[in-house]
Amino acid sequence: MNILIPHEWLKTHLDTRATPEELKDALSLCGLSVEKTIPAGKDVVFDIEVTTNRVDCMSVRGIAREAAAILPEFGSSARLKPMALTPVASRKPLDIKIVNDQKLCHRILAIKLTCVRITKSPAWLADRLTKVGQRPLNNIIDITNYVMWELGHPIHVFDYDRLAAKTILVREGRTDERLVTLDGKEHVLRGGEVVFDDGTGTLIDLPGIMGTENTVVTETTKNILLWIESIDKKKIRHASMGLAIRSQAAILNEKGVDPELGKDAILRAIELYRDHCQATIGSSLVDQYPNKPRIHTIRLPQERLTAYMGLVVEPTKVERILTSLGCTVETDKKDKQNISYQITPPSWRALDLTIPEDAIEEIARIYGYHNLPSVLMGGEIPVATRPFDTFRLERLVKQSCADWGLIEVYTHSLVSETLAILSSEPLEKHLKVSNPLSEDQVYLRRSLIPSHLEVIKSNPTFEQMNIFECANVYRKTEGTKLPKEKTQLLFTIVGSYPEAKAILEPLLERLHVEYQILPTDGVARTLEPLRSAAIISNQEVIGEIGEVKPEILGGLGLAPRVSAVIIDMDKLQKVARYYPTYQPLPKHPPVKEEMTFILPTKTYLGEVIEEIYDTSRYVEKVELGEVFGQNATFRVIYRHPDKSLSDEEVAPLRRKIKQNLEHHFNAKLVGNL
Amino acid sequence: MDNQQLREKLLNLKNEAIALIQDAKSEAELERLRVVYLGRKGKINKFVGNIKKGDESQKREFGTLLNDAKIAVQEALESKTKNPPASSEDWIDVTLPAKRPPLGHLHPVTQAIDEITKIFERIGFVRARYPEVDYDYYVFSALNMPANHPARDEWETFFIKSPKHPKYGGLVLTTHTSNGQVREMERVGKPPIRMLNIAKCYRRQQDATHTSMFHQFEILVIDENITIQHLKGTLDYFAREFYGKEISARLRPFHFQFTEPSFEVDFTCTICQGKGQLDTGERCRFCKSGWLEVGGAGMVHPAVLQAGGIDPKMYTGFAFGMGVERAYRLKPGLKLDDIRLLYSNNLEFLEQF
Repeated sequence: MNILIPHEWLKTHLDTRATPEELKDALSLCGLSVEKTIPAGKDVVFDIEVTTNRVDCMSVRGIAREAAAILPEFGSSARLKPMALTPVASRKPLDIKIVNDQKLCHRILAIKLTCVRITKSPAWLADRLTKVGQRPLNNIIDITNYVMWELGHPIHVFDYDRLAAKTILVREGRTDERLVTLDGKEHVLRGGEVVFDDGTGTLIDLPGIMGTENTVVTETTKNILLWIESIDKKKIRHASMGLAIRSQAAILNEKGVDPELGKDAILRAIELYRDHCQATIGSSLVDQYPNKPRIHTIRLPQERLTAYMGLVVEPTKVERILTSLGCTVETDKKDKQNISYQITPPSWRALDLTIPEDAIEEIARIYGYHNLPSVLMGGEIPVATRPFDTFRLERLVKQSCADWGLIEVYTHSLVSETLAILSSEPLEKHLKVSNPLSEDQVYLRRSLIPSHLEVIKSNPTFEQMNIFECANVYRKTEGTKLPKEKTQLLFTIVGSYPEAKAILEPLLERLHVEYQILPTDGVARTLEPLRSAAIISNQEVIGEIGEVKPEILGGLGLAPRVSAVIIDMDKLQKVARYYPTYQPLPKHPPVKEEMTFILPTKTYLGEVIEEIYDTSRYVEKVELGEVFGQNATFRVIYRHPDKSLSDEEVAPLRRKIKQNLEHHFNAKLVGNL
Repeated sequence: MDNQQLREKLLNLKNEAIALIQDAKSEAELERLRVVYLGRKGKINKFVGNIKKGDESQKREFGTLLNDAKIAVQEALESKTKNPPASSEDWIDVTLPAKRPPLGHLHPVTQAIDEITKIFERIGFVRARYPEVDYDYYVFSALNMPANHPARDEWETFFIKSPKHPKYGGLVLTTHTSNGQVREMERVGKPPIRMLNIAKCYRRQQDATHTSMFHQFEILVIDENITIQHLKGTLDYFAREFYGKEISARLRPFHFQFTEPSFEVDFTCTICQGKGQLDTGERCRFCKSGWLEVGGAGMVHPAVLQAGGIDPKMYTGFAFGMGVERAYRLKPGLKLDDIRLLYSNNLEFLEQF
């Protein structure tokens, strides 16, 4: 959360000579980040980021207090100005019956102010509000906003005369109860919100969040009930999130505003109503504060501080820093070797400073992180385990794909309903986001193919479309188990099956994978059954290759032929190797020859080649030569490890090839042996 | 001649042939050399005459050697024929576009991840991988952010429709890589830990500097005697290695529920080198007074160490996380101002990398 703080307003609480620029730098380095300074006439406004634990800094005075602690470390003297607030003298009882529930509300402060005059706010007040982005309305409303901004405690005014039942009962809201907030919106309660009831069942406020239309001040208001409460912060959070009302009051109150601050806030407001609305005090100040929160003391051993900072901070410096932040410190020096500090935080830091590490942070930041040395750690290096070995494989696979001309893409893990359906997996088997940002990003994908088709579609002018990606697909599991995340390699090529295979094979060879690419019926639901194959290694299907089904392409309005290779990276990991088993280099020359066969239609030439290999262990290599119609030429290389093969020795192998192909494939040799 | 002398003679013959082939100045000369050495009545075939008739052992040994010599001479001839000697008068068009193999591209995010990985591996970090869809417990609760804690608002979280696990809660898309913190502690058991976790993360926001899917890298160090100074040292080291020797890191106070103390991390602006203004005198629009906000860090909160089964009295540690895209975008001279381009999958864009 950010807060705007005008420099001129800040100076009403902070006594310093530091320039706005010095203030900005010092605050940013040791306290809160001043994101920018905005010029505003002669003044300058700081835009400050306040972290959720520092709700005490969500005010002009809070920032002044922080600056007063930090500036002296930068050589600028600084002092938080004391506030001189006048106590209320009236003893007249407030004629409103307040029935509190201590569990829901920790403190209530209330006072009746009479004969208020509604006008425009004085110029200086309106000006300060404008600078911090609050639109001035009238003096009654503006003062509540002003006090909240100045001191950090939200404050409310009721129209006293509209509280007809003269009762305020604190209770929890019930499911389906309704109320209309001051902005005219009707809200239906979920139950469990803290509400005020006027004793008749009518809801008259959503305290700590927003007033209700039926009791807020109007243009004709004469008397007001000035009111401050400290509602339990979890209750505020529950109501504010549940009803989606993110008012400034709610944003502060859900983080636990210091109830001690309430007294200052109401006295300051009374002062302003007296001075600027001609209000007179109509009752005594009611203060129901049955259980002051206990503030816990932190024990911080010096040794622990040193363990975090890596150097020794002198006890006097520790004391000075903590005291400047409002803490009380008792240093236990009984044992010179083991000095420790008993630290009691101020009420406004009671929720934030609770463990020794919190105190360490305070000391270290004011000491200045920029004053600490920068060193690399020594110590033992964890080398015992290499549990995540797939990174190396991924790296090699990606580099190989890029080396062969493919472009790597990163498509979104979340896909639209259309793409989810195109994966050919049923929609209900997809994991679904319950609060998607857009319709494009609803389902966790089960296939990378539709995403790649979308890339192809979105690059219509691009000529050579060869893309790849290494990413997860997500599978729903039963019950409450974690979904299965499987890393896949997909490469997609605008072109036919052989073009994809031309990249797949060298990839597998680079990884020393022993593989087969075999026709199987419908290995992948997205690929054409007769134009796809399984990639098999070690008797396991590690992937698929094939042409994408036309109906899937059609689903995205794509016409060209698209081929894809999908590899399961975990399975590839099991069969891939980074180095081969060395084969002794051949000592004798090979015999090379070509044989052409006439083969029946739809003969799988891969199987024919396998068959030739199986003829003899002296068949070293079989390559496919020219294919023309039914004719296919095979280049066969024979080699013997221990001698040069003679023609007479090759002749029987040749005959065996012919016989085997005749027998298994009904092949006819062209020419004679 | 004995075997030793014969071997020498054969070696000389081979070397002589190769030397002459290397020096040949024309194709005709190469052809002549082929006949002289490899022809039917060539020098190598004639060499057989030196072998004593009937000496089987000599015949076996020299059979192989002769064959090797023939192959060597043959190869020398072939390589010379493929690249025939150029005459100094032959003109070629050196400006002619050459036919080249297709040039593929690794995605810039991959390139950044590789570089980050190498930098941290050099100082002993081990890269880890944890789920992208994880239980609420690891993403929030174990990191000292119980259900309904306002600090959770800072992570614009995507929730997954799923039944709630009795202990670990519902499923979310990981909003940061910090879900790996407690998981890594559980995996390792006993420090030292030096983890580098790089993963896809997801947040419900999309603008020029945010994409709903992005990558984060996170380092986690847990050991005895780890101090804030070590975090500073590690960040300075990374900034210097990734951006150049002029770049360093600084820490500013911040708040995260899972670290104490917590820091916001700035690097020296890589564009103006920390000067806050450009050489032209203009104010640097890229940074705030010479510093760029890059990520969050902190000393691991004792509650988080406890959640991971590590005794906070014995061990301390730090963590730092930063967007990979952000890290890459700050490379000097890159000038990539819209992060969404990285995920547009516009191939003309990707071809530039």
